[in-house]
Amino acid sequence: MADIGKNRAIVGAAAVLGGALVAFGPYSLFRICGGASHHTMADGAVMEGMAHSAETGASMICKYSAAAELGIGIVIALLGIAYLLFSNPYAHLGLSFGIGLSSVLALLVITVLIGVDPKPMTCATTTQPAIILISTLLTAFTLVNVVYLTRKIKINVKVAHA
Amino acid sequence: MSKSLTLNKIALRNITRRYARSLFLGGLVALLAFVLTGGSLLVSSLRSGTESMAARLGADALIVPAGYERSAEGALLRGEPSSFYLEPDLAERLSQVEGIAQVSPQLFIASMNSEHCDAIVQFIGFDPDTDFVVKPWLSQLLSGGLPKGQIVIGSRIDGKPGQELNFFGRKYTVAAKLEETGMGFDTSVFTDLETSRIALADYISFGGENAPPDADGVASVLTVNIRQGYDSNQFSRNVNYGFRKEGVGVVFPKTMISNVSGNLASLIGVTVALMVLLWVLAAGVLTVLFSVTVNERKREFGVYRALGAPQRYLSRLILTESLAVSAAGAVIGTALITLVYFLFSDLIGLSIDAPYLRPAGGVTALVITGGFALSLVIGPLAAAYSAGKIGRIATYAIMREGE
Repeated sequence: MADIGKNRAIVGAAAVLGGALVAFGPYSLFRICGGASHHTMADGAVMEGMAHSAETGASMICKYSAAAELGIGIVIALLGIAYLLFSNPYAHLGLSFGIGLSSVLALLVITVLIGVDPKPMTCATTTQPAIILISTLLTAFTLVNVVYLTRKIKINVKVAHA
Repeated sequence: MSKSLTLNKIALRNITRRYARSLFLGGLVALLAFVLTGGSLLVSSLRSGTESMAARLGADALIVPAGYERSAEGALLRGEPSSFYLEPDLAERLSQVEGIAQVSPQLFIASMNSEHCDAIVQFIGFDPDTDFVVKPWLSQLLSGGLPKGQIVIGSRIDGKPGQELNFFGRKYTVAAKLEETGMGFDTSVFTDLETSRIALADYISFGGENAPPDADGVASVLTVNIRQGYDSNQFSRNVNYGFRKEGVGVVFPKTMISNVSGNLASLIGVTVALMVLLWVLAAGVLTVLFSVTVNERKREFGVYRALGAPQRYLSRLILTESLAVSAAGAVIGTALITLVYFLFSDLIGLSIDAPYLRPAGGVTALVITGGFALSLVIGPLAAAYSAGKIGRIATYAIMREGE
């Protein structure tokens, strides 16, 4: 029982923290280009193929990615909160799958599905690597947790049958 | 069907049963692996960057407007955007200074300046007829030379040959992309002098910072090769005194390289000393921890001895446990720093105040393997002392139990 309690606290907290970073990091810690930013004289030096917002000069690719990550990050954080609230190992297993798959989605959005602006824009050098790092760690962490929970459930089933 | 309880299984169960202690030991090794591998990767990247810079800064001297010596260094080393200009007639007269064997103008234009997005692209125009700095290593990419109106882009700029990039509202075709150099060239765009003057005219029309009134004939730096046997200090005096009214400065790339190398040597010394200190500290902490743990487990080892386990078996058990914990920590620490190193390589390169270049794949693999190995051996080494005396402790424990 103590093991389940510790697992609940560690995995739940990690998911809430990871989700919050994925959601709000692009707007704070590892900021994307844009938001309140405005390009000065350099608007003429923008690379071909980059879509830019007329009002702010902010890149639309980065904005779309950040918006998608905001949604995915919130989902991960909510799954983390649910993990903290439930104590059933089967529910934990399902929630772990949810957190893991959402993390994979966060990774795919910033790399393949939407992507970021070309280098050396901040989005490509800071935001993208940060999201890749967080989502990879979260995916690996939940994968280990799925293996742990599956073994735990098997042992419990064996004990119940004995 | 019963499963036999092997030494490895007992070791694994001991680790998982005392997970708080195992987590602490593994965490310590992971931290050590992270710092050792990270420090080694940083040092080898800086060394590689300095070597790359020495190979590419082929001029004996750079003549720049007075006060812009640091800007020229910043543009070359770190790709800091710089726009500074020598008037056409001044550039012409400077070319006649005594001691010059070869001279070629270059034009710098800072192409981007954003308040929040620090994407830096430095436009560098060189004269294909007189250049002796850029052409030698550019010719490896473009055997027929750089076609007029086309550009060569640095490794940290997204784009590929044949693609059109837009600078100052004008499209330029990418002729080639440079390999990573670890210096400012990675965020630079190279083109011929004529094309760069067209870009400068556009820059002026955009109201660019520090722009000259007219693009015709201007240059930012004059790259100079000093005549064989001519004193470089005398050359510097010729420039400084001869043009004191106009105000020009001389930058010696070799001095710049030796300064960077000197700073790098100090940094490497400090980093290596810190890594050795950390390794010794970690080894000390782990030795104490293993010793304490073995003392705590006297009864357990006594039971093993009572069941007929030989002294060697107990030593192997403690070494296996320490190796397993070390291996887990070393794998996590090394994997994490490798991930961080590759993901944030561009950011580190852009923010660090020195030439930074990821070394060749083989060297990188060797550095990572070395960091992993040094972290892996620390557990068994720290446990060796406890493993050696474990037999005696166990016997003693059995004797005390019998009293």
